[in-house]
Amino acid sequence: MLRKITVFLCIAALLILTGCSTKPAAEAPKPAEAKQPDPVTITYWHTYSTDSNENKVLNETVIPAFQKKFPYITVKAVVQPYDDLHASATVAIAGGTTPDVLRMDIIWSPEFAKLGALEPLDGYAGFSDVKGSIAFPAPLATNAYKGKYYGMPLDTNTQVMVYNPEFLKAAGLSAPPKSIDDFKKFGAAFTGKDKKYAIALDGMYPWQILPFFWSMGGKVTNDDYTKASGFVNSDDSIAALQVLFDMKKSGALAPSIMGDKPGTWDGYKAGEYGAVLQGPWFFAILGNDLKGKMQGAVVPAGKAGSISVIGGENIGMFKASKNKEAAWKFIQFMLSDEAQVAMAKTGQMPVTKSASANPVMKEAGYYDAYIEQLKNANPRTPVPSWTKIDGVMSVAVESVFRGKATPKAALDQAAKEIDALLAQ
Amino acid sequence: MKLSWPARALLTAVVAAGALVMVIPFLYMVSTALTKYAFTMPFPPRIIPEQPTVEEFVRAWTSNHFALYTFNSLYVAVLTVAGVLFFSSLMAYGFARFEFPGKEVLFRILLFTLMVPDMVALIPMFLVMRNLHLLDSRTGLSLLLISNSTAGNTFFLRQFFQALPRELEEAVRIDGGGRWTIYRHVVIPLSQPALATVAIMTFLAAWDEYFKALILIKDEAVRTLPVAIRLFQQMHGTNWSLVFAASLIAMVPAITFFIFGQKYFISGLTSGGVKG
Amino acid sequence: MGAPLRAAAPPSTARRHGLRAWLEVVPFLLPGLVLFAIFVAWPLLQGLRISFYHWSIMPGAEQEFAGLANFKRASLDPVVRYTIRNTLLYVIVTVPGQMIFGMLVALLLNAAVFGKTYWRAVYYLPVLTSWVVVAFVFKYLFGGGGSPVNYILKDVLHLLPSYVDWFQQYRTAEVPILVLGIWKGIGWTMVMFLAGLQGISHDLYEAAAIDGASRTQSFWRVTVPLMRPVILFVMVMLTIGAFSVFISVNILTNGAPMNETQVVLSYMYAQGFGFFDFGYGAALAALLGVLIFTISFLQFKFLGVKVEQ
Repeated sequence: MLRKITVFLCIAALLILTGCSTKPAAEAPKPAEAKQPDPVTITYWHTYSTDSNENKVLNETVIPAFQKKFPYITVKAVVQPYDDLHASATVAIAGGTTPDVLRMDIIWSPEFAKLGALEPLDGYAGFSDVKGSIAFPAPLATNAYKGKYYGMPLDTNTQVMVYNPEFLKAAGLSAPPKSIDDFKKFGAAFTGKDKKYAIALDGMYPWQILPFFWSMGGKVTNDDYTKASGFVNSDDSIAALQVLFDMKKSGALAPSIMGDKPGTWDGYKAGEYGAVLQGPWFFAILGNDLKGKMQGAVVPAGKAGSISVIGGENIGMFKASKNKEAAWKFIQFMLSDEAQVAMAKTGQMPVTKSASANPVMKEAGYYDAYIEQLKNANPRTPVPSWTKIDGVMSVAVESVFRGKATPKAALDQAAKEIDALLAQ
Repeated sequence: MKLSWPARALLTAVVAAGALVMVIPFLYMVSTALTKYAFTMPFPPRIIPEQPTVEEFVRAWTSNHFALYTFNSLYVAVLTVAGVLFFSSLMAYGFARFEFPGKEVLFRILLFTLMVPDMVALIPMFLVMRNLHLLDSRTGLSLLLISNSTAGNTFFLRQFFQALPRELEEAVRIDGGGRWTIYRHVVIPLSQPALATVAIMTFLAAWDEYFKALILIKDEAVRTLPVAIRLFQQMHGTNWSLVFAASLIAMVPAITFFIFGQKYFISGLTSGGVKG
Repeated sequence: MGAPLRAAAPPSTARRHGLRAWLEVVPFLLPGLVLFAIFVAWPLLQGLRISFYHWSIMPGAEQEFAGLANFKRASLDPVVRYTIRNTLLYVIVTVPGQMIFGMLVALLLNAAVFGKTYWRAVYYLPVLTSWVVVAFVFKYLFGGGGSPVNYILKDVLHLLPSYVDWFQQYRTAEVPILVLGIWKGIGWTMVMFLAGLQGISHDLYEAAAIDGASRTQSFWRVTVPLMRPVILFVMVMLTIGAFSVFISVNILTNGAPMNETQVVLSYMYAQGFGFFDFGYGAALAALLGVLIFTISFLQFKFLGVKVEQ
């Protein structure tokens, strides 16, 4: 009896579900050469907080300008919480309900591309012009996967050292330290006495660690991104991690790196930290409060020079989009001077050659160090498994900082794990 | 239990001391919300802000359709409460007072679904919602929340219904009343405190639902409050004053509902009594 | 929880009887069961099925059957061991913690305390706030040398010899997670217990008092037995809730130090929504389900409450 009822319930549920899912999911694509194109609506997901200036400019300036140019296209901008964009996009991919266009973190492009969720852009009209207009090769490279481009850089950024001039003066320096050796000397001047620390980092993850690691000659993988052994655990890599650990031990590196409070922003504001490693938003947000107390400078140069890490976002199109031509027009427009310059005014660094040279970049006053640094900045290993490698690297650094492993042991272990991830 | 005046005062003091511990984090929230534009949290924390201002509260309320999101959240929460009360009370009565083959197995299946984290069902659930054209819909979200909380509330109400005295039901039966009469005129009136409890819990859970609301609703016109508050957080540096101010505003309807609801379930207990 | 034995009846009569019983109860059960089947049971079955696949989230992708590979991987994954240990710790500490404090407050409020309504609302405040927001607040309350918690414990109460770096070691990092779990749940437990306490007639206490029972005796002899269904319900729901601890860990420690504070759901979220590895995530969920089921089963058994009356 019971079994029959269970079966009946299951069948009923099945009927309801399948009955509804047999509806046609997509209409046949229409030929696009009509003179008066049919009106289309494209959806654009981004993560500009609703309270932000970026959101305002996007909705009140950029999108209206695009719609004026292409009256038949309506752009529906949907804001998503940054922390959950990855999850939100995952669900949408599984459900086939993705937006047409997505602004995504540059580290996600390869994994979404590998998944097959993104549309390669190489074949679209005017692609090579757009590609040629990009000023920085590193952000562009984050879009490449197996010889095709699955997006374009939309905005870029990097991190530079931001110094409190009072600390520099007290350490007897007239300018920010240029070399790692000077940097160590600056570090030795403030080692936690009277709650004053020379340098404060946000955490032990690659985004904050890599600039120092790379500058001192450390590497994560070989140049083809196929092998980590012999690179992440090379002598230079081990030495670089040792230098950071020594600075932590001496107290030059504040406890904020271990996740303690005050965090970098709070402590810098309170005058406890002499230097932090931050992106341009640090100036854009705190600039008014800390006038005269922030001095940007490129990362101190080591063996390999001064190398920082590239951040920023790419803009891409989902394969499931039904309005690919319109979506491509929108991507093209977002890389035009008009859109790039408008967004630059809100603190978002442009990626195209002409927009980077625009006078607006000078007006902000704090971009110089960033533009200088962008000439020498690497992307985090642009492979689909980066999110996992990021975790492996974080654990390696953490185990050293917590005294659980020597730099060599930690990086040997990381090399093994990263090799396995790259082989997948 | 009659207590003397000093004993009551002493107990009240104990309760007050505990209450102080409970509210410390809120004092911190309120003080941050009253500070203008705090991208950094005050450290060390202060209870009284240096220059208190309600600016961030005004900013939260007047920014992008906050009132609309509040209305949407209310809509979802109220509909969910109504649905849960209706479906769970019926089911709980079925399980409390009927004998039928397979009852125990069926009940255990209900309980079992409570035990597997529903994160695992998120994507299939999303597909069901999509197939039924329930995306971007407040009613759809509400329907899902009702279904999700049916099992737990059936479990709770069944416990309560089973404890009700059977004499009253017998009386109705002798008067020729059927199951429906018993359900409507005996079980429901006698269970007001339990139903009020279910209503409060359901309201709060629906009011606070974030993740499902996030993935199901993309359309700004039907966006709910918890998602809207999350959208105040920025990728680089969050204005905590604004987020806390918005969260405090969002607590007002929940507190109101709680105070209203708790009065209701107390009166239900004292007046309903055994009289029916 | 063995199936109750029924008096043996001729099968045909029993079946007819069963059918009639079903027809009678169906109007009460069906509306809820339909919703339950569509939105809960079906997605859950689908979700668990995924645990046997190397599942791709791409619609229409060919799904590769994995057999028990995901489960085998879970049994070898060292982080899984941490997550189970921490999740169990969370359950063992926060469930009794919430129940004891919730019961204490409920008893105090049920006694003749001044301003009862007001206090009840105050104790309920934590339930009304979102997990995300209070987790951020707790991070600041505990974090760093001169944090308020350190200040109160060392400089005011002199309970600690020196400041504690709460988030730097596994043992101390669990403290804020557990305290937050208890703090956030006392209000809910209190309300449930109050509802139960108020359902107990004063006549019973008076009768107990006439029989010479002390307050403690009447608590154990009158209150607890009559509250049993409520206590059981609260315990099972708290246990289930505690097993799904996730947001607070994510924000307070994010697994630090070195994944040692990771819990099952935070790890599962990372696998599924972070790495697209839903097969593995589903296997973790299935394991967690089995764990919860076993513990709830023991709770029923221990309390001697049959599901069927």
